[in-house]
Amino acid sequence: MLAALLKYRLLMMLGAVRGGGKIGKTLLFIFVFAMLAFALSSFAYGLLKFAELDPERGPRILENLVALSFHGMFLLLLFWGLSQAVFTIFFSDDLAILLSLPIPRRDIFIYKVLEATFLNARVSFLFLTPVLVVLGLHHGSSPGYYCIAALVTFLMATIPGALGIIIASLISNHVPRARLKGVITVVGSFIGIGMWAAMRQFSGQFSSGSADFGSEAMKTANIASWPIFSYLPSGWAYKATLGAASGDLPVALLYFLILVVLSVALTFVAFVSTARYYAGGIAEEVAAPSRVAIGGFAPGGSPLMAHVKRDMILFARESGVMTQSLVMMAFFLLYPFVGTSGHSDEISGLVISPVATLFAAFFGGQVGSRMLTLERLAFWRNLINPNGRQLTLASKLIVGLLFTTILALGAAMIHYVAKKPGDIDSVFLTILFSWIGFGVGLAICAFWGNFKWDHPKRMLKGGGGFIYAFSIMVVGLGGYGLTYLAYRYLSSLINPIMIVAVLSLGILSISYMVSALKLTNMEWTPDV
Amino acid sequence: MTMLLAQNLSKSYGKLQAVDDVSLQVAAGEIVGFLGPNGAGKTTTLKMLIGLLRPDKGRVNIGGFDLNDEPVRARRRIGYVPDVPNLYEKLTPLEFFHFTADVFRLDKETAQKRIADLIELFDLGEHGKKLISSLSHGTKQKVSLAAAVLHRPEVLLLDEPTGGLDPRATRKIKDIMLELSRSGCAILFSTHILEIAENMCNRLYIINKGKIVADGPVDRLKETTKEGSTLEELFIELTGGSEYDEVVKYLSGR
Repeated sequence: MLAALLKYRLLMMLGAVRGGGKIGKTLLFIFVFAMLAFALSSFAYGLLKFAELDPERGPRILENLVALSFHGMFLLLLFWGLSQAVFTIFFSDDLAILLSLPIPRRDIFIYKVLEATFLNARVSFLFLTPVLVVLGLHHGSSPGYYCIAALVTFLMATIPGALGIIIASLISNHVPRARLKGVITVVGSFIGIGMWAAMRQFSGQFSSGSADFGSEAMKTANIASWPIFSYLPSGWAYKATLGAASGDLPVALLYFLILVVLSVALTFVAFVSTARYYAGGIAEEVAAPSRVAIGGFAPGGSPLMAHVKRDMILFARESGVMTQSLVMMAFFLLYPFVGTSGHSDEISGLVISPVATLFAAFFGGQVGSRMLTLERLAFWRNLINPNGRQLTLASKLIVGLLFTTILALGAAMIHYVAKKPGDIDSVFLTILFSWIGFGVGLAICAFWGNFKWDHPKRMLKGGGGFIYAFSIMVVGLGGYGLTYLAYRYLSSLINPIMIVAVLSLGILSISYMVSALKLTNMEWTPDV
Repeated sequence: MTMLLAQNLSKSYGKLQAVDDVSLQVAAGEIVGFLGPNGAGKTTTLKMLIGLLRPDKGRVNIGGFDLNDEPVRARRRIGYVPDVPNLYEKLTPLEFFHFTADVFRLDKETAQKRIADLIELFDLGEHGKKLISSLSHGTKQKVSLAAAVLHRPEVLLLDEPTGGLDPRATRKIKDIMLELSRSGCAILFSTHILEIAENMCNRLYIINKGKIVADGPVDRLKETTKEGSTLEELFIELTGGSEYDEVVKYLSGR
């Protein structure tokens, strides 16, 4: 039965790749995949050459890079792997039909765990494969190494998933099912950030200050030698892989077995803990979820204010948005720890670092990309309300910018206070970069959002994906570059913040215009 | 007086011609049924009439205003109830009514009176302050209908309004439609329930494969078939359906 389920999943995946028979989508997928493979191969080749050309530092950097990749991937999985697993196990679309079929619950669970693990592991494979291949080539490893490396990567990916399921089962008694995923996302974020902060706190003597390498990049790679990583699954995965690559089989087997035992044990606990949930069925909750009271929504206002009030209520009650905001706030707790080491950024000399800039832009982008799909399946009403399309965008801009500004201000103030003394310019720049991100997010959502009212699940998603992330990166870092130039060359002529303000308002205006254009021409998008 | 006039509407999705040269009209106070099998083009036509879809060809006029040239004026006159009540799940019915009242620029006193009346009419009193996401399908449908008539539309378009409703709610919706038509509202609604169409409608349009295959008063349409035919037999004859005989035979083991 498990084989049948896996075959069915494979067919679904192939269907997604084939794009419902649309040749354009298939070609695009192949193109993107080829570009990614090319980029990763080039990176791996460069790394291999570097390791060969510099026998003193090369191998050490390579090993540190492998370790860092494992650790980075593990932390990343803690951020979103937890919620991915919870969604797959508890909320996936096919769960209702699977549980109604004569299939043993154990098979459904194993299938779902495999599915969640695969979804988690695919990213790990994508980013770990080049460095693992290079490590193998560098050591001249046997084919057995590659098998062990693949298994280790897979096992490491099962652990955050199993943890997510266990945590979800434990708190499912206290948290409404509809909010389970959001809570898990927040929990995962705080675990990841807590681990990072703890590592920063307790690994000082091993941090960049003690590195024997000269450059920032070398210091960063040396983070891998922090002792705390030895106690993480990613540390065991690294040791197993390195042992297999260098021919140290006892070490490889020891850590491989530790990973197997931990993975199987956690998966078993997850299986037991979900028994009650599956046995209880997956009926939707009937009880009304709690409401956030918004005062003053009585009739008699203008249509614009009606839209603003509606969006504020939806925003306040949208668990996804609130979850996201909490995650972003968790990120902003990291603000004082990242990128800067004193009064100004050590790379550019600016009062704000590129990392903080990207944080702010990504945060604004997340809010912007959520605004249009906030109304979910009721969004079509904007298309038929008198003046609906114009007012819709205006209210999104008002509510979104208000929310972005408040949270960016909060984060920037934490940064400002933590720096003792900070530079007030960094507060303004954080807000302006969050506006830039908001503008990009809004426009991308308008153009790439899934406005498919006939497909409720798809409508829930904001748009963009890769395009969104890439655009925010480009615009955020581009804006940072412009800020650098403004501070360096124009500060005697004009306050550099004015230049960033003009840039952010320009991007907001362009975003508003292109979004309005899209909305004006938007119509129902049935799937035929 | 013609309140809804659609001329030569066509809409295609790629190679699929969903609606092909459809023309229809509804006068003030008239209730017109829009019948057709699944996938015949009913919903696509209704969405073009409300402005959710842009026709490839043809025009729509609402109460004297062209939907394409004067969309705001035209939309002020329409109420629309979709087949699936996709509402703002995180609003309460009361908040949703307030929002709708403001969008249609009703003054405060009028809005509050009408909202109170509609809540009573649709038995929504106990649900007024619950989130819409927690309501049953039938209650959501009632909320959707109440919001559609809140501004007293001159043209009401309903896409299978009785779907998922219990007999009591169905009866209520029928009564409300009759009441609205008596006050001069032009009503066009699609339905699969032929009994409702036969009892309530002044006229019918039957659509199949994107084309109008019959239109006129129910009695006159029945006259076109053999004597004593029911509306169901007429519908099957016009839209096909004999292919289902094989399915029935298979299921009954014959």
